[in-house]
Amino acid sequence: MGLLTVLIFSLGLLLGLFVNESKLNYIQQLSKTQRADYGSLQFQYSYIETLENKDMSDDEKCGVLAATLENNLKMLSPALEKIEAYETSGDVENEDYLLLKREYTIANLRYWILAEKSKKMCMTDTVSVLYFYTKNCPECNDQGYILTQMKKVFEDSLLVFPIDTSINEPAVDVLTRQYNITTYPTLIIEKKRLHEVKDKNELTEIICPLYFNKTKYTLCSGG
Amino acid sequence: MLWIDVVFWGTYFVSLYLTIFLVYTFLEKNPREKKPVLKKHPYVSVIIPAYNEENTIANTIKSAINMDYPRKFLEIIVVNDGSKDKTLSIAKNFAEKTKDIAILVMNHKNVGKGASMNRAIAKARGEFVISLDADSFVAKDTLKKMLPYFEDKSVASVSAVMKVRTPKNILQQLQWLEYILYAFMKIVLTTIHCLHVTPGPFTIYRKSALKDIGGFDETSIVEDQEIAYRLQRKHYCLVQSYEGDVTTIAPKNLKELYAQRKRWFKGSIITLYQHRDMIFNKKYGDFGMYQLPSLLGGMMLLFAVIIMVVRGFIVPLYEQIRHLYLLNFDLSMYYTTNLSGMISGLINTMFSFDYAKLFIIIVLFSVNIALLIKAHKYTNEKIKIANIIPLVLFFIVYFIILSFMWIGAIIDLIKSKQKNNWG
Repeated sequence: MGLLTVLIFSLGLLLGLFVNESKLNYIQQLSKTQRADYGSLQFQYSYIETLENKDMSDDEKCGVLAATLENNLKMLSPALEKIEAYETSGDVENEDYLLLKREYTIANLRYWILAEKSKKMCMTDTVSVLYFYTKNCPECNDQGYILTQMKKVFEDSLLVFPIDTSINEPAVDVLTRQYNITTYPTLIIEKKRLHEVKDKNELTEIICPLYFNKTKYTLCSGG
Repeated sequence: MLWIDVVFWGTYFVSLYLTIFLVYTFLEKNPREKKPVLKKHPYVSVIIPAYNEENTIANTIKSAINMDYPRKFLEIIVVNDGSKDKTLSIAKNFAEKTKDIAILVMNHKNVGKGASMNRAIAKARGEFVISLDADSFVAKDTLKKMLPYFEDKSVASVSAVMKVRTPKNILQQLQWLEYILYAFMKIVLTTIHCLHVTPGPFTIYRKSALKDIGGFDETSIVEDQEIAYRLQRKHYCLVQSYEGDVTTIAPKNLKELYAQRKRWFKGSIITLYQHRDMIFNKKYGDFGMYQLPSLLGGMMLLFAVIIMVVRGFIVPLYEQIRHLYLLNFDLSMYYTTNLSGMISGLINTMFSFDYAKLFIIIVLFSVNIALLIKAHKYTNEKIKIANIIPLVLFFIVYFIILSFMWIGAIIDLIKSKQKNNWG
């Protein structure tokens, strides 16, 4: 008699469990490819280090650097998606997630050093933003949102490096000490340190003058 | 927020399960098969308590006069409860004009509906007394169809199917659907002796039973609910029939609906509180063990709806406005997105979406549709295509609106509790 209802409900619960399971499987599968990607980036970075002593023209060196930067970009954005997938699934205590996050942060920092190098050596027209944030910080969410939107406008010429200081990563500690980060969110834009949330207009005013070619973006020329 | 989720989905789960279980059992029994027939005509008193009802009372009295029942076994008592309008003169006019039926008009200072009913019952000559609200209109054959239920000596009350009179706007259409859905649920509840209300629009009471419990509670704001609890306390049978019809005028705008529902909600909380000893009390059978806990659960569900709306709609809305503010209201930037962003966003939504909840919502929705279809059948109504549009609104918007009215009722209660300590 009540069998039908029991059936309906069991089905609902099973479906929920099944979807949750496949969600975790998806994330874990992504993690495996991610490992290989990080290894590859590590190699490319070491290779760049040897470039300075090599008998190559600046153009050639910049070519290699640009290719590496592009690879970084390609591999880092899916990594971020994965981290977000973990975060939305609420499984943030997962060991795999924490490890992933550390690896992502280190890769990001490496990418940041490369970008700085490229700017100095090859005059690439980019602006780098180091974005320090922490857990349980509502203002950080606001700042993160603005940076995401800014990134959509400036695309590859605005490089945002989000750094979650709440993970236990010595490399992050080095940076927070160097830049003397005590409050969150804090932005480091080309040596300038900015506390508190900066809205779109404030950020535009800071970022635009830093480009070599200022007329390229309507946001900068329009005021 | 995790514990809130557990409580709410738990309540959802249990109440939905019980509803399906109950209806399923009901449909298997099919109580329609045995239809009692009226053998003799007992004397019946129709009581029409009225307070400022000059617009409707004439038609109400007419509907009572036109009932298909032997004239000599029928009397009508109109109780004017201190109306400030023409209610009294309209009633008196009928009393003079009508020759074949005894119409008694009582008049006193405003004392409330419960007290008015009690005074009329004291004067009533009938073996059965009927409560007929002065804004409701009874169908011709209702009385004849309902009286046979009293063959069973344990039956103390029989209520007609309450329907919204000629719905004119969408709000009244929604209430029309709501009423037949509730009528159906009450028909189902009758089979397990769990009726918790004997609606004022048209309910026949056995006078001896009313005397036994001491009549209506004169202080209650929902005297038709309160009396049901006390009848249940004495183990009387309460019946929701599916034969007789009574149409009533439903609130035509949100303000009127709010006033009505605030009174209902407040009244049901107070009544449940007054009779809290019956909750989970085995002595009162399924009424104590099933019906009262379900009412309590239903109240919690209304809260669940409110919190779901706040979390699912108001919070995200606030967030979007905040985002716009952070972008200095630059709309072009607000809408900036690219294809890969859209795809990854879609994937994220797909994986973060809670399919278990979606499934429960779909089940709930289908159950409600199925219940509505059954409700049409059991209240002798045809399913109209034109009702499909209000139907969709019915499930989504209507209950959300009611939930927020629920907050108003609770705020009111807290305020009045500070003034005078009830219960």
